[in-house]
Amino acid sequence: MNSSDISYLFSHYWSNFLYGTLSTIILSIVGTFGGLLLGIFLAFAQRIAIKKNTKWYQKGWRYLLKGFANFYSVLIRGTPMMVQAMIFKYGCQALGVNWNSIAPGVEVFDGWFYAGIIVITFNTAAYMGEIVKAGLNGIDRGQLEGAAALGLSPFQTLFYVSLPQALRNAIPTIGNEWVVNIKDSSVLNVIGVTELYFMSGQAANKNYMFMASYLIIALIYLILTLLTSLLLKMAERKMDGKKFSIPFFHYRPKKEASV
Amino acid sequence: MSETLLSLTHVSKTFDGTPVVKDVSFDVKKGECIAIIGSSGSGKSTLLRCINRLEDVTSGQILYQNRDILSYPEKELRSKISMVFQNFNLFNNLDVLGNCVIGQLHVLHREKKEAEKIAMIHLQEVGLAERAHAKIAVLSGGQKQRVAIARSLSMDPDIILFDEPTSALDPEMVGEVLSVMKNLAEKGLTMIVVTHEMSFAENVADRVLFFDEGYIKEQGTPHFIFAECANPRLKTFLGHKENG
Repeated sequence: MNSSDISYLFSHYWSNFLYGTLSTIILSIVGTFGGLLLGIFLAFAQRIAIKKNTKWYQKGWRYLLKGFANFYSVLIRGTPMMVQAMIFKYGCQALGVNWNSIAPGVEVFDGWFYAGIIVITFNTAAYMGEIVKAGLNGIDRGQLEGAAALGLSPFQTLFYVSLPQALRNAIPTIGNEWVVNIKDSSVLNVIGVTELYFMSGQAANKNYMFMASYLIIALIYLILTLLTSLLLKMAERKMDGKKFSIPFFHYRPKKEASV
Repeated sequence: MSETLLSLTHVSKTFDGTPVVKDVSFDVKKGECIAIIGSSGSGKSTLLRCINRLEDVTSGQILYQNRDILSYPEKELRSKISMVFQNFNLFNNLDVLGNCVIGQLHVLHREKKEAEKIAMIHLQEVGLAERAHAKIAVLSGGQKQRVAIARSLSMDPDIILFDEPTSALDPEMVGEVLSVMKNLAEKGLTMIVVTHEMSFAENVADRVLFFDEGYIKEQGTPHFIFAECANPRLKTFLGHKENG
């Protein structure tokens, strides 16, 4: 490999890299925030209270929901996303669902892109469920009692008191999950999702310029993850009430000499 | 004779076989301020929690306006019998006004504008109107407790239960909270106050109950409890308080 390979790939296959980058960004954003929404439901389900005085028919569905949420979380977090993607692919095939023919909305992406979004969203949901659950467990009992004493129902308490605080506290972890998704979406190439890794592979295979191609996407992944981290840091600083600024480049006034 | 709002008959509460409140009976009349004193762990707070149904009684009965509290929907009961806690229990994600409005919006189903107006009236009453948009985290302990009181008042309750409202405060801040409570008592709000502030019990309360080991050992006017009563257990308790 020499440096001309890199410039050759860039000049002839820039659209491949751009398309792949856009796909990866969309996959990671939809996967992370869709996963967060599903994760909130998973966390709710895992925390359903089953008390002694709960009526038997309510107990039934509560156990079912709670059991399902726990099982889902263990199953998804205990298996690699690549394997999940393959099982999803062949599962769909067995059921006669053909993703090649499904392309809702934007026709820029083929059906497998949407399949990829489903896989990454449902995978992320399991992790987000744990993150939200930990956030909810961190809310002190006093506030819950305060809400109960005011007459708020358990659901209202969850919605207006616990969840906003849990999410606020979980922002760094949620952001981390986003960064992980930018990188891990690359495994979706196994089911033909046209993300960055897949698109660079096309360019590499045609020209036998593997090293150059993977160096390029390594750089793109690095830029994406760094930019995302920077964005998250800025958002956090904003939420802490500090002035809007770019981390790592703060202007620090010199301390004046004490008299 | 004013009407009886709350009536407790032979109330007991047991936690895993350990009795905490034992055979407690008393009435609360409208406009009355009752102070409950007694050493820590004597069941005072548990009794308050039973009245608000944060705990359910093991045996006995609590009547609110001549109806068993168990027969009320929880929302209705808790909007009528409000509670102020030792550790304030304010919602950290909301500002001062938000804390006073949330219950009105979602329990009493008031319009937002109306709720905010009512909240501001009560914040004014506790002297915190100008801090309405402050975050809870920046308030002092005394201010937090006054917000908690305004939050309770905003629900227009018939009774407010105070569970050691000054125990978590610096000595400097105790005064500001007690003076708010004194004002409320003078305005005729029905209050049950679990407290270690003997001066409050002596000077503000209409009636004082002395709790010991889960029982009401003595009850009467502040003058009776603090000056006349000869119960040795009460004497020891008050003696410790004076010295300590």
